[in-house]
Amino acid sequence: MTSSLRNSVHRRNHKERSQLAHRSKLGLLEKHADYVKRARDYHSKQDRLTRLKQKVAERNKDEFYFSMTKEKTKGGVHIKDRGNVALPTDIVKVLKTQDENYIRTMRAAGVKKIDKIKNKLMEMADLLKTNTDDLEHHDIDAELDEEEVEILKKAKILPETQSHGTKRKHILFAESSAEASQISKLKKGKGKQTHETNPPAIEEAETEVDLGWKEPAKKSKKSAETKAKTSADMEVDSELPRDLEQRRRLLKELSARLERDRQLRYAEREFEMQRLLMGKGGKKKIQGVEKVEGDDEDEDREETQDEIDARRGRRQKSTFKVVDETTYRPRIYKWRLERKR
Amino acid sequence: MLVTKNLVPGDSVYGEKRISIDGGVEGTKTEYRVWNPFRSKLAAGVLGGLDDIFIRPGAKVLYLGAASGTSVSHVADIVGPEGNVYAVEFSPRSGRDLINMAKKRTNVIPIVEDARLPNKYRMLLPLVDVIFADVAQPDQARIVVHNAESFLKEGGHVIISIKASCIDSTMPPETIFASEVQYLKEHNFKPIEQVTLEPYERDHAMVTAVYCRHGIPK
Repeated sequence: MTSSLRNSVHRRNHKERSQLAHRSKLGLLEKHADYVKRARDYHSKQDRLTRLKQKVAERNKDEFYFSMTKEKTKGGVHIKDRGNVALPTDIVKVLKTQDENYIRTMRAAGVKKIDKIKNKLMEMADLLKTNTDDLEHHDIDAELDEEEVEILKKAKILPETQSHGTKRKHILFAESSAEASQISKLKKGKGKQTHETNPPAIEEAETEVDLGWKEPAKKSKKSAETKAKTSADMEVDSELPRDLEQRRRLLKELSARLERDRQLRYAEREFEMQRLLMGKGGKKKIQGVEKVEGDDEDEDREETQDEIDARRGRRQKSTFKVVDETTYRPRIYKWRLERKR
Repeated sequence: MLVTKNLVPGDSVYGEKRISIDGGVEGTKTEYRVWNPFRSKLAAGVLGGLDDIFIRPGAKVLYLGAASGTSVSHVADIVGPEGNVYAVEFSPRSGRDLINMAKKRTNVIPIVEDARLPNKYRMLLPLVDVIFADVAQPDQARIVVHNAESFLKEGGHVIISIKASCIDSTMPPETIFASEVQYLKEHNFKPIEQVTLEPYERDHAMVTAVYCRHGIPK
């Protein structure tokens, strides 16, 4: 009997089969061990559910435990207290005064930065592009936008309400009509001078005759001239946008800082109100937070299905409502007048 | 940017920006101080298009309503060491700042006195070339005329900054400016020009006039 090694030494190991390539999106190929694990888990859960159903069916409605006197339920479900106690009022006052002081410090720092930006803006000569004498640079962007004018007004650089005749007026007094015509001629004469310098240049260009061969010196001179002119123009053009760029940047930063200052101001007021409400003395509420003739057209509008579809069902990023001082009236409390002891 | 050449290089009066540029001579630098048109009515008038403010190097200027001396310092820079600025300010607190500014700039003479009573400071002033008035009082024109009768030379000039809301807040500004100009005409002043300081200030105007002590020539 030759017990060959054929039975004991198996040359080739059987390898475990894995998921087919075209079914790889279904995950791992389940073997019996995996199935047993899954089935046991499922059945244990089912058993738990059936046991709970039995418990519900055999519940005693009149059950009573003495802990029921202090435990709480909400909607039939037992609610257990988290264990957080409210802070005592004096500690809360201290913490809130600390917050208030912090807000006040941050706001003071912000106010200083706003003043610095305002000074930088006021120094710029072309802040308000009112004189359109520069006809060379036809800059439509040089004028301030409405928003930028709004920012300047909010920063109190420009006066809040423009007077009726917003255009600047320049009046020259003359004794008699002769003097008046003389003055107006002088003004026109100034303008005429600039016009007269242009024609000679054009004349020179016209007298250039085509000789049939290249005249390197003259031509290069001319091209050099024109190159110099265009490069000068280019420099000026690139300079202008740089100034406008800086002005735009300063105004943008100024508006952001003003907005921040406004929010901090509201926070300060709120803290002060809370501190006084925690204080001593009998008080009476006169008015709560109210809306003044709110523009209810766009407030809390019902959203049509089209709008929800446009967002693909997702909720909009929370846009903070701008608390406008004119549309909301703050709460008013009145304290009873008591002599300080 | 509107700048004036700094009379006291290295010193900033009210925290304004200074610009240093290489001077004519090698190795020197000239310093200029930025003049803010939003803070100074005179700068607003200059940028607004006044043809001539008559404040030039070597001139003697009587400045009524000097406040803390921020505009006065720029006028002192313009008139230079040969000129003089006589700055009149009534409020003691602003007067203190004015005096401190005048300590640095020797061509400024601070006078802490009511401009309505020029007799009280008559011993400090010679005849001046220009009077600049920014007093913001309802009887401003009368104050200017009184001071001019005492101190302004014949053919001297007057620059007045008129605040319409200060003189009469109910009337429209154009009528107020016209009435002020009329008052000046009646008191031997020949008006030259009037400019509103529009984007910098609201309902303000600047008027320049010549003083003809012996009647306006017809």
